Amino acid sequence: MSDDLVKAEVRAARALKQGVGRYAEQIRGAAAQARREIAAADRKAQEALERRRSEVRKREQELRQAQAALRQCRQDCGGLRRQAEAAAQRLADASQALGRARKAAQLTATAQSDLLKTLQNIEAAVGEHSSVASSALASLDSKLASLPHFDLGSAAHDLLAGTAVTVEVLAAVSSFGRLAGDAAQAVNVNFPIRDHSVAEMAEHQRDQEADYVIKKDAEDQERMNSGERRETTA
Amino acid sequence: MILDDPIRQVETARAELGKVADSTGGWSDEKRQAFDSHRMSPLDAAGGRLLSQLRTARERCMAAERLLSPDR
Repeated sequence: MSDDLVKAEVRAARALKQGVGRYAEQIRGAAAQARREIAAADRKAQEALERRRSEVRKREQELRQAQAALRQCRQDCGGLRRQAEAAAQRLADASQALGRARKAAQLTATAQSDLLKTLQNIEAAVGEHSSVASSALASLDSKLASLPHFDLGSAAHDLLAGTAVTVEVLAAVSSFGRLAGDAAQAVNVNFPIRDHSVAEMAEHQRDQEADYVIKKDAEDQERMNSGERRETTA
Repeated sequence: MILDDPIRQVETARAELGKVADSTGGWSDEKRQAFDSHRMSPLDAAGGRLLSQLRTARERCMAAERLLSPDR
């Protein structure tokens, strides 16, 4: 692995770590605002429901009074009858409005309840995944930065750098894969990729890890052989 | 409109996470391939799930607003 490549790896690890941190922060911000907005919408619907209940009570009272007046009427009762009919109509309208308000309040209450559950699960999952990712990428960054330096250019250094980076990246990705399944199960979130991509990713990682072991064995063997050749020559 | 801002924030966050993947330009094919899988990681999936729930919640709230509108 060339010096430039190692530097690119370091830059990538840092950019990824920053990107993952920013993503988690943005999700937290969006979740907080969504909580406030949905709570306000539900509060508004509950207040409207209460106002309409009160309106119905008022219209019921009005109708009772109009009906009582009509019952006491002995002559020229047309005006009182019309008042009673109008009061009955206003009560019917108010009752319909109350029915709609009940549905609205139910909708916002369900929206709030479902969203809060999702937010809780998502925030837990994002927090956990971003934390694992940040740690893995920080560890990768630190290992790359501590390599005994990019200007050596020796085969041993190339092998060391390549191995360190590959192992760290695979370990980081592997952690994501494991967590995806575990967290999804723990919070009962049906991530779209849970059944497919994560499983494929894990399969892919197993293959890569197997390749790495085979490659490393072959490289170790090659180094041993070349060491033996040098001793023989000497 | 209700929940528009959180929806936009999550969309932006997911788009930015996708762009971060470009920083792996210097990585080997093997690692980039692993990271391509990583881009479809739980982080992105969680954002997608949140987006979907926010849109559902917005639709419900808008339906509630229509039910409460004075001209109904």
